[in-house]
Amino acid sequence: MINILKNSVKQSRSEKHITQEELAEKVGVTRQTIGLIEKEKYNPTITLGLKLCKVLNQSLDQLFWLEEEENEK
Amino acid sequence: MKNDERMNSDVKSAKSIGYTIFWMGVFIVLLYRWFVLSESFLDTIDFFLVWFFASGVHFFTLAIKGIPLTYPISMDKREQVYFLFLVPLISATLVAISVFLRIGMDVKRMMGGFVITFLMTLLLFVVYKWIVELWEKRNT
Repeated sequence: MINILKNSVKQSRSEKHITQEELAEKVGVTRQTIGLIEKEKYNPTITLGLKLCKVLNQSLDQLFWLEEEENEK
Repeated sequence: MKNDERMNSDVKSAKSIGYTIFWMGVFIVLLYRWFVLSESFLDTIDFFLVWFFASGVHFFTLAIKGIPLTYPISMDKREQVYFLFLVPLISATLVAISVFLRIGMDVKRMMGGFVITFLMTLLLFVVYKWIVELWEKRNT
């Protein structure tokens, strides 16, 4: 079993009616990185995670959580 | 052995420092052999190919990871177009000056170096932008 980091960044961002570009600007990264986080293809650092929580007005465990998945190998 | 994220990060950082020193070192050796020792391009082809291959892999790895060509400087579309033409123009001018320093005022060879460098650099940049656009379609 492996732990996968899941998140609700896309949902929270949509609820706040802000674009990827605007969110990226507010947390100081590029739009591409926000896109990757939303698609769960990139795990942000704890600093970036906390910045996202602040901007999206969510707690860390509301925005990010771990899920166990079967290891394919 | 544990897969420690801090150690993985530090190993990557150490490799990156090593690569930068290696890349710059080979480049300086090439410049020294061309302009100080006046060796021909063919005399240094072995060093050049290693340096060129490493540079190419580095360049295209950045492209397939979706890193914008001008990162970390953010540019609007118009500035990007300027960048796309200005950098090849500067590279081509430097090559023309290098040809002049090596063989003197040979207009045909200087123009040849200028045109080939300009077109090759422009082509590389266009391919880079195309790869980044494909990455964006797939990942964002």
